[in-house]
Amino acid sequence: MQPGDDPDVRLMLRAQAGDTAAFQELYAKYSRQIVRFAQQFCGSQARAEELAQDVFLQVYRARATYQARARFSTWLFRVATNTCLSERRRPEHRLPARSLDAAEGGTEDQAPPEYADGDAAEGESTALAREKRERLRQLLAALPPQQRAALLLARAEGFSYEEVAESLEVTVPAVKSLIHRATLALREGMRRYDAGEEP
Amino acid sequence: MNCSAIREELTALADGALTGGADAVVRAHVAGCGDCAAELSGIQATVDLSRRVLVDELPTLRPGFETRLRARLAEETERGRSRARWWRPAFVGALVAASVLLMARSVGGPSAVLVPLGIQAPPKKVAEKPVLFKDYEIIEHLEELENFETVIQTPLEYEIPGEGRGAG
Repeated sequence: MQPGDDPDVRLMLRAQAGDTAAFQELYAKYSRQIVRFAQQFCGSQARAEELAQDVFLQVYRARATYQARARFSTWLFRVATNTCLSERRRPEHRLPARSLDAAEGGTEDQAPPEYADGDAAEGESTALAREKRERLRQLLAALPPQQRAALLLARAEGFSYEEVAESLEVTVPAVKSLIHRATLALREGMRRYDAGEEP
Repeated sequence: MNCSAIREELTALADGALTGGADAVVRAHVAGCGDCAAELSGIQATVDLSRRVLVDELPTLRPGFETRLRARLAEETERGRSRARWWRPAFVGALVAASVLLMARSVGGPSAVLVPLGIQAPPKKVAEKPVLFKDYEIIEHLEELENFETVIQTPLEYEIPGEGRGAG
């Protein structure tokens, strides 16, 4: 897809020209995705929402110099990734991410978010599925931040490896390696969980 | 490709990220290699699970998210306007001042460098190169600086306890 064919690029170009409704449309469309992404880095939903707002503020500030070189979402998630990785570098956030916090009895602020889709685990017993999903989230939270970002962009946002590379500002082989290592770590973690080696 | 190289490609294969040629090579190897096929099966299960868990879960934003965002955007817009309000007169003022000075210099008027130093009517040679007077404090103390060598070679007028003056 050429950048010009991306309807979100067109919205961003309208926002660049001063159309606030176009910008509202963009954040209405992407807010939840950005919050979901941010939450994997900072733990609490409240903080993830603040980070998402920071991301949209940065996008708003950058609108004057925006250039449509790729899909809008690729650029947006580059801003989000940089924001989240910076957040992780702050000393007060060198803590286990949300899933681990929640498992350890986090505060209300750190409680898992409400999810819109309760039928996703169709075919698995609800309790087991929930436990398995929670375990996967814990494993994801334990991944190095760049592996986590690459995996989230590819699996949650459906980015191609090329788009992940664009968002993380790394090469495609680097993305391949990041995602492969992350997947092996998740697989090993789930194997140990299934074998009853870990709670 | 050997098994080790093939296994590096299995996650990309499971993600559907391999392009034509590479995809065919890896699939052909896996079709004939039980170990790699088992490895792919485990990776594929992990890829499918992670995709299912991650894709399904979009958080419901807490009430007031959009209101807070709109407020921050409005604040940002106002800040941008304030910056513009401050910047424009400052810029215009600086532009006017610069123009006046340039015009004054072009008609032989007071120099931007010399006037602040109190030199209203410098000699012609000085007026031609006022930039030489930028470091006026140095010029003011030129005489002392000319004798700088003497100053630094003068013995210090103090004694270190326990040592005679000029000892060593």
